[in-house]
Amino acid sequence: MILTALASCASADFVFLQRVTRLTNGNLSAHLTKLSEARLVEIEKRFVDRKPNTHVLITAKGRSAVTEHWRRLEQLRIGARRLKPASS
Amino acid sequence: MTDTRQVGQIAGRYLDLQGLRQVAVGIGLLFLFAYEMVGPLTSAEIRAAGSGRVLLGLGAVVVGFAIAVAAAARISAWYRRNYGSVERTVRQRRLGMLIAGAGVLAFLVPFNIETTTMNSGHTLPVNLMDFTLALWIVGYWFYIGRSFRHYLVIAGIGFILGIASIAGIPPSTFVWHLREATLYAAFASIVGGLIDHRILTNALLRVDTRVGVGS
Repeated sequence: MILTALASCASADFVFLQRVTRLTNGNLSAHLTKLSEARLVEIEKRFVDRKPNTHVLITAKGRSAVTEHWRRLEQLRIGARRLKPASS
Repeated sequence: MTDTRQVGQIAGRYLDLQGLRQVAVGIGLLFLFAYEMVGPLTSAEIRAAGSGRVLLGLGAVVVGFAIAVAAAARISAWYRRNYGSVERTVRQRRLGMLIAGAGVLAFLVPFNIETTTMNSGHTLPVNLMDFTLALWIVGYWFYIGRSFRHYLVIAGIGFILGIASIAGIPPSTFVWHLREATLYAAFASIVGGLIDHRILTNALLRVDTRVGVGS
């Protein structure tokens, strides 16, 4: 969900990601750390209106991972549609 | 918010869905409508009223719009504080500017046709502004997302108003066409904005109502 949100824009801040995913501070931080370690996102610390602000942007690797994820889901959906229920 | 695709849609159109900014613009348009109802609009009316009254009326409209723009800026800061910020991609920014430009043209082109026709001593039998604004709203619906169907309803109202103008409701004069188009634009801005705001705030939980949910 975090990657899908980030793939739809240039970047988003921590507050937005928290609202959209409904995760707690700690939970979202843990997710972002793991995504950053996997080089799927980049985390930037900035100052906005003299207040610290965490900005997150998706990397090219992250973007292709999201595209691949949706492609596979679509394939599954098409595959499931082709399946016919077994006659009893 | 559980639908992942919807999350992408909200992130991609976050700035456009900050509907209270649109409401502020709609209130500015209501100031313009108020001027159009009481102030002089045609050259004959302007000559009869005198420049002092015209300047006073236009000054009130400019002040109204300045308040609306200032309010929109404050509202943006409020959204940023409560729901965070999203930066658009270059493509999204260009597309947004293109849509905004098309919106201005949807008002100005028929407005010019109306004034040219009026200056040549004729009146258009149809309110073109209703149709072009409604058409622009359909375009905006394509841009913002097909799930935001309220824009189709708002566009439909515009088309109905346009058809009614052919039947002479309101009277087929430049002044009434302009009044109707301004009021319609204000209505579309305010109603569309309020619904967008509701969709956005339902999708994004605010900080003071947030409940800790495990991943």
